[in-house]
Amino acid sequence: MEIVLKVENLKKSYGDLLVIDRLTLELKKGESLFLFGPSGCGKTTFLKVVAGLIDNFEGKVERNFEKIGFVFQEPRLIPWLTVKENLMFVYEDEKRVQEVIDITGLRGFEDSFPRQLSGGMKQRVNLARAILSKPDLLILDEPFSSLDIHIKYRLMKDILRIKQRCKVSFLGVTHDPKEASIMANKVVVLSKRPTRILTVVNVSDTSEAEKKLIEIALENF
Amino acid sequence: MRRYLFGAAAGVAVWWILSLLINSEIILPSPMAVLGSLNEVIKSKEFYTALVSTVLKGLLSTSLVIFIGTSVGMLMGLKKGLSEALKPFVTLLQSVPVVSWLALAIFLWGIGWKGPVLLTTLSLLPVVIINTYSGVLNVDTRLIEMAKVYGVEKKKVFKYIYLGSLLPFMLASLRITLGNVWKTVLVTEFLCGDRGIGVMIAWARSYVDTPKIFALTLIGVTLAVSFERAGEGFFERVLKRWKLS
Repeated sequence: MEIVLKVENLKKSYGDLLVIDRLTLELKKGESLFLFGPSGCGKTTFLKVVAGLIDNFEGKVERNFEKIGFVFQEPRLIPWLTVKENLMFVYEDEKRVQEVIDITGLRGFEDSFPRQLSGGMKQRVNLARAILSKPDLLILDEPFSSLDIHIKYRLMKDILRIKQRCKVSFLGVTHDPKEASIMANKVVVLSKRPTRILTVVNVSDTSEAEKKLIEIALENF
Repeated sequence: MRRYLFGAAAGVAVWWILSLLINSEIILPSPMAVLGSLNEVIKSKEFYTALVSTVLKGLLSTSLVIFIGTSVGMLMGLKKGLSEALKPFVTLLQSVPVVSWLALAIFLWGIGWKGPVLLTTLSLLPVVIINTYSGVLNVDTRLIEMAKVYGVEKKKVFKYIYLGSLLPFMLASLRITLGNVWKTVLVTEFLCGDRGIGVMIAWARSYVDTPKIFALTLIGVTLAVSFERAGEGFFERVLKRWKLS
């Protein structure tokens, strides 16, 4: 299977503080890989390296994707632009913007300003912005961490639906095991700082009861 | 409005009583004497030439202060090296007394319109520079990072993120400048101008014509209030247009 991202011996420090220590992993096309680890272990730093926001690191990062979408932990919407203007800011194709507004359930909110939206709706705009360019890789940086449980499951459902529809690869981080097991095919468990890989868990290993509960939540919440 | 008028009337009454008690037109002329002088002033041709000259100096100084102050403040905010290099100059600009600039302006140009414009600009410039600089530092870097991830072109980032964040700071700069420019122009005209309301005050002082000084001061206050009010309407329209209010 085609490899979208290959990271070899990634090492990243801030001054004397070693954050990531020789991290090696690869992400295949269509795969959904989540990094699961404690707060402050350098998960977001890793995503920023992949997204090209951090370029002073040791090791090798091979990016075999053209377009990237990034669902940030907090929505990062421009306060003085409407939902539609926020989307047009990153992708100036009105037809595609309208299409994504429909996909993400934002119809009727196009002319609203971020301050007029709930936390869940803001995250929807964050997601809409991330999928506008039909990315090959969608990065998810704990996008559900500030949401209440109902909205969280609804947004997860939307993201999984988008994954099915667009055949996009996912690279996400979380510190919630449940979230990791719902969203990922493969979960990479990380240690405390300096971050190393402790183990890799395939999500098919999730217990039957848990799977059933998750299915119910995704269907009904 | 009724309370405002009542307050103004009470103020005039206190002024009138005090002028009766002091009983010296040189120290405190009565409201009647000032009104009489005001009537004379606005009937003279000289006043209109002076008014136009003062207004032009005020507008030119405001434009210079906003243009230079915003540009320098923005550059300082965007380029860290430049901000460190320019900070001592801004501090210097803030602390050098007007009289020192006055000597320089007189040596350079003698008395005329250039001196008051230079002095007013230099007096108000540091506030606008510091205000704009703080505005740039206040820009949400997470938005800049978001734009970088999506490869948004720099022109768009500047227009929608930087200018959007800076707008309240720029309006505050304009508000501060419009509120202070008139009294500064009047003082600098008084010190090194060849015409203008400040120069008329200087002449009135030479003739110990206190009622005229009061009348001209009233005109200066009216000028400041009118421009500030006109500015307020403009600020509200801009804020509404940018959906910030």
